[in-house]
Amino acid sequence: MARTSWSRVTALIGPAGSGKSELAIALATDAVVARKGGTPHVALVDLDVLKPYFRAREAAQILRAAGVELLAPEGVLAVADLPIIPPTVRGAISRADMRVVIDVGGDPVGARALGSLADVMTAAPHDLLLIISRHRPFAGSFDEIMATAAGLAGASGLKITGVVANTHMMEATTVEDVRWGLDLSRQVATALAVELRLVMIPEGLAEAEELPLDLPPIVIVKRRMTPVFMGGVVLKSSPRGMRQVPGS
Amino acid sequence: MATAQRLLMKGTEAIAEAAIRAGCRHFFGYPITPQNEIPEYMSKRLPQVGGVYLQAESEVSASNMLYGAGGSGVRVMTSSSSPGIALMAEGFSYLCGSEIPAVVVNIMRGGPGLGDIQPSQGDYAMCTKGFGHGDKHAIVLAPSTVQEAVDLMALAFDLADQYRNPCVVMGDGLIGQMMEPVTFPEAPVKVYDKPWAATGKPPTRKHNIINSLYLDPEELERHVYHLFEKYERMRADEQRHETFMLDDAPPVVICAYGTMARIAKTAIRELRKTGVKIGLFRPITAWPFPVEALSGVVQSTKVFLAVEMSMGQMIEDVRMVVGRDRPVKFFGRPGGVIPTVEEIIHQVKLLSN
Repeated sequence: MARTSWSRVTALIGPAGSGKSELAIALATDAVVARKGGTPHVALVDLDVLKPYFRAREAAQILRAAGVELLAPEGVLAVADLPIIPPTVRGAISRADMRVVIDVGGDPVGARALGSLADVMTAAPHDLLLIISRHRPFAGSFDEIMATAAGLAGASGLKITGVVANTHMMEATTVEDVRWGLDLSRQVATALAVELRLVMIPEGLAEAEELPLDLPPIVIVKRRMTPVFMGGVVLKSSPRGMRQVPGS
Repeated sequence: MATAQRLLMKGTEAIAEAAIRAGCRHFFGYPITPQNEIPEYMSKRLPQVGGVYLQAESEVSASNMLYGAGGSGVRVMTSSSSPGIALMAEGFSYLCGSEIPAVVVNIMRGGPGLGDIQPSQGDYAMCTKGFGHGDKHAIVLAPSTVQEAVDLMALAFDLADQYRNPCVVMGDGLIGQMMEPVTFPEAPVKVYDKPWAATGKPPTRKHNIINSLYLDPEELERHVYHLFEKYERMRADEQRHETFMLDDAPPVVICAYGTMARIAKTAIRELRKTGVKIGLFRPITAWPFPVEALSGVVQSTKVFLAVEMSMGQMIEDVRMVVGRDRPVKFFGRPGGVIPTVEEIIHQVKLLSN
């Protein structure tokens, strides 16, 4: 895992469904492992003000178990789609001993929420990483990604500092998908004059011999943002029905 | 748009793209969670293909815009979620009465009332039996995967045109929001002759009038009889279903549709591993309910278990088919809570005891 390749405060932007939440969870939990024995805290900020579910906050148990602090709307507000930024976020970004990963909603409206933090972000050592998942709609071509990148960065008031390649088809991902996504990600990184910082590879494919050798640091993705019945954490419910239901 | 044939899409996005590929160029709607990606996608894509996206001032307006545009013969759709669909009910009845093809997508959320924004199947009764006033019906398709949502969207537009009737695609918030790989079929758009459409009067025919007002009761009665001849053809020809692990005539059969059927399939696979003989009957058309196919399963089944993300609505159709010969048990959770694999397994074990 590429634990040295991201700044103390790292915000993840990209079109909806590009893999920001998966990367945020992976980076945050890995940072704890990296700093084991040390004092710094790690926080994951779920800044997704767009989606009703499939948000990083649904991995709360995993994050808690890993020692990551989750900064997200709490209680009943956690299951609303309201534009709420927890008041603790600004403080966390400003703390020199806190590593912070920010998961941003996947369009300019979502990135505007990040824009409201641009002042504290700029004052901190930070990264703004653009994630590219090429099989997603409106994300297949160079022009589409560049237009999206401009919209997202513009709304956030920050400059993109790196690109992450995450082209996949979930369980059906092939090496060819990874390669095809890397091509576009490299083109975009070159055009933005930044580095291709990471490549996300689905668990199970990371050992494939056909993977290109010239890869940037790899993040192995164990998919969490899938429904519970597919092995993920999304829409987990408390077991109430383990008894005979009245009237059945 | 990506040039790749394979795409990774949310159900909502896939539904919107499938509609466009089915020739839909007109969308009228009003935002509501958890289906906002449909209007959002349409607002981006329709202008690219020369179509019209219009956000109405309300759901009632949107459904009446369907009436106007559909009346001119073009392929039209709207989408909403439970409370919004309820608001559209008036226009929906007018579409049925005036025989205007349109596709209505309902991505259901928890109710009643404003409820919540979590996935639910609480609108089965509304969609299949009560969507608007008067004697009428509409075909209701219930996809279980994002790919099936793509396939059923094309079918929905064809059925709407074929029968001159609105067609409903009914999913829950989960299928709307989850991402899965999809491919879009290359099939050409079927074009239906629409001599009834109000497209301007050429000298060769009289005015085409689109109307659902029949003040003379016997004339209205004749019109409703005509509609019901059509609905009888739908009942005869359009029942669709899937069976899963029913080949060895298991004594326990789960009935579930949509996302719930997928969770049930996972439970069935687990139960089969432990030697429990069990299978699934999944309605794909919630209306017309697949009566014929389910009837064929009754003889070999000892007990049915209906599983729904509601307090039990489809179960009434299951009971209607199964009758009193076999028990039909129920498990479901309302309010936008999704029954789990473990809970279903537990309920099946309770049945066996």
